[in-house]
Order: sequence, then structure tokens, then C-alpha cells
Amino acid sequence: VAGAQGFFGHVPFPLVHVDTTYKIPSMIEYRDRLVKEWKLKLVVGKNEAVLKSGVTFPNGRATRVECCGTLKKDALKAVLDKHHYTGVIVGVRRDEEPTRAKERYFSPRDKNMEWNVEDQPPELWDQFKTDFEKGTHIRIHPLLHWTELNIWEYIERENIPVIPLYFANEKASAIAAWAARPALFPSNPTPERPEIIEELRHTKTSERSGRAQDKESEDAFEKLRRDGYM
Amino acid sequence: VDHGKSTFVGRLLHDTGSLPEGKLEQLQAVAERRGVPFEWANLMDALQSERDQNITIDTAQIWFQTKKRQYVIIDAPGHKEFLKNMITGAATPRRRCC
Repeated sequence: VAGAQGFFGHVPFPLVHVDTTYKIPSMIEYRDRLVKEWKLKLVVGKNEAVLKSGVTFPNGRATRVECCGTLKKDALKAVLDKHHYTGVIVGVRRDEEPTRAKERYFSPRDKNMEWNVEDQPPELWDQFKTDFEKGTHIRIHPLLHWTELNIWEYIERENIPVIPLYFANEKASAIAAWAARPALFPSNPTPERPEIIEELRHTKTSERSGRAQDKESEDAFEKLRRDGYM
Repeated sequence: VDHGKSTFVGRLLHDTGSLPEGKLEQLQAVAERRGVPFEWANLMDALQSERDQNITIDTAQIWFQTKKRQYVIIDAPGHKEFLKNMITGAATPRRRCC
């Protein structure tokens, strides 16, 4: 979206994708298409060592949470360190998950990428703390207060291209095929765009409820996020 | 302090039918596994450190909707140690109650 409208066709920051290599193929196609059309600079982070060793959840040699830790969190840390990034814009939202409900718009991570949730900077009205110690970075969360419904209304209003995976037929088969994979799309049935919006106005299924990683133990996801997961 | 702000929020979301499917059962199962009484406040008090002490440490937000509009509830801690977090929560809306 930033690319299409916000920057007159030239996005001044790179797009970082942490690739677990277990993503659904149409998602990678979508990424590459947007990179081309919007002339984005794509930076891909991958945990090659762990992928090579095969200690992953789909291989049955790691738990879901361990797998998210190595393939997503550690891969993110490596890519941030390599490029010396001091800030990263992330699309997480408070309505997704209860620890994200406690996030700040400018959320500091220390040298080890850890999140000190008990001691976050105050954010008063539109005042934000934006300078942090060297060697640390901030997570910038511009969509923090958006709801899932807001996202779909915005997609509809701005006519933003989406992955066909969200729509009925392809989605059903894709989910069946990828059910054992570590990353899975939301599981509420969503046939057509206006219907998605209508559905979201009434749904009682939460967006991340299809994600088994959240259920592993009470604080599994909290620990992952404290360690630097998105 | 400790008068049930978070408990009220959990109960309100439940009684208005605003909890996502399975959420209540999930919270009940967690309480049972840990051998502690079920707390409505745990809907908002999601951090382990909050659940261990039955207090709110950081402010949190939760959404629900009626036919007319979407609402957001901002829960904030009452203990003076967490004043900074209370102010962050309180500074968010233009108008507030409680």
C-alpha cells in the first residue's frame, strides 16, 4: 500500500521477508509480483543452517514453537543484524492476540531482540519515544489499533490486490494440503470480498484460532514474543 | 485498586456474547491445569506475570461490536507501581469512564 500510493511510486525502505520456506506458494508469487510492480527492494531472511539440518516442525524434529523460534525469530534477528536495521515496521494488531493487545506503537527491543513487556515506554496522546540505545531496535506498529474488519474495509476501499487463497475454492484445498505446515492462514470461511466484510461483522471465530502454535502451552506465544517474535 | 476492573471487562465481553468461540473454555482449561480458580480478568491479563499475581501490569485493549458500532475497551492497571502504564492507557481515548 505504501508503495502504490504513499510514496509516489518509490518506497524509500526495503521490504524484509523472513522466509521459512514453508509458506504457501501463492504467497511467494504475490510477494514477487508486488516487488516487481511497486519496484520494492526485497531483502529475504532465511535460517539456512536450521533448514539444512532439517530440525523443523514439519520434519517432526522440533515443536511448533521451537520451529517458529528458529525459522522466524532467529532468521529475523540475523537479517536485522546483517543490515544494521534500527527500526522495522511491522503490521501486528492488538486485536490479533492478547500479548499484542499490550504493545506500543514504538516498541523497543534490546540488543538480544528481547521485549521487556513489563517496562514499556509510556505513549501519551501523540507523543512517542523514538530514540533508543545503540545496538537496539524499535518495532514500529502503525496498524496496532486496526481490527481485522478495518483491514478488509481498507482493502475494499483502496482496491488492494489480495492472494486468491482467501477465496473459497482454492483456499479449501490449500488448507487441506498445507494443514501440517507451521504457518497457516486464518481458518474462517471467506468466499468473496464484500462477503468477507459482512462475515467479519458477525463472526465469533478469531483470526488466529487456526494457529496451533498459540495452543501449545499457556505462555508459549508470550515467550516467543518476549524473545523477539513479531 | 483490586476492585475488579479487568474482571468486569471479561464478564462484560462474555455476557454480551462478544467472546470468540472457545475463548472461555481455553481460559477455564488453563486455570484447571494450573489448579487455580478461574478468573474473568485473565481475558485481558494475558501475561504470565499478571496471572501469577492476579493483577494487571500493562494496559491492554479489546474490541467488541454491536449492530451500530465498534467499541474498544482499554483496561489499565490500578497499582501505583504501574502508573506509567495506567497513564498510557488513559491517554488513548478522547473521553473515558471509571
